[in-house]
Amino acid sequence: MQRPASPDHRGDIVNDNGGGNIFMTLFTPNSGIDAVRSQFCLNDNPRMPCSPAANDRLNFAARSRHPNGVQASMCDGSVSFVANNIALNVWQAMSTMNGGETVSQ
Amino acid sequence: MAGDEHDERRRNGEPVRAKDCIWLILLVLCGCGSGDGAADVSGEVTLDGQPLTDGVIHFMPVDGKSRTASTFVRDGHFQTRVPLGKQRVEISCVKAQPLRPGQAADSATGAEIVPAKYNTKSELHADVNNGANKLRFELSGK
Repeated sequence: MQRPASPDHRGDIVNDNGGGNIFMTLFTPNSGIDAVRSQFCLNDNPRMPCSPAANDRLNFAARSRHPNGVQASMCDGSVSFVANNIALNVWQAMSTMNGGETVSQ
Repeated sequence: MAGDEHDERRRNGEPVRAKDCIWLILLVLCGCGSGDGAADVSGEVTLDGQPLTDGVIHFMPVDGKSRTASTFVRDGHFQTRVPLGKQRVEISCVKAQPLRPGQAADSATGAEIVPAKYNTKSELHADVNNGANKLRFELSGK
């Protein structure tokens, strides 16, 4: 498969640049406007809007092509489908290490 | 196949069955879109009296119990759907800076022109209620 020409590297699998294979939980899934390095922000995909990051404050939301949520992989190797309308506090708690919370799916 | 049989009956002029009606009603109900706990929010953003030409606006639930919402501000205007309730509002406008000679493209950054009290340390809030919400944010660059 030919690599797309866009320099926007969000969603790349083998790329440890910010937004490649990781996401952050400042915004709930498929929400927010990512803050990316200005050279890479083309806004050529309406599903992943971006704006230039100020002073390297990068931010990348979890994104998908699913209509209602994202498949998120956890550090224990499990994969969970998370709805776009998940509560922000639950989403952020899931992204911390020692909360001990259980999340119903 | 069951579907072919179904179509066959249609063509033969058999009446639409009750089961079909239920599916139709469900589809119509799903299409209303009023049950998502959100409302239309639109408004204006000015910075030192001038429309904010090209920025972003974020709505974060103060109680953390709903999703976030964001949209672009274009020529001072924005419009999106935001969950009901009290929202912390963040407004940002970053100007991309040209690369310096020899600077790597992946280290490019930008400069924020909106003061931190409107974004990273935002003091802006909005109450989003049912119906059309009109908001106006008059920001000061100082």
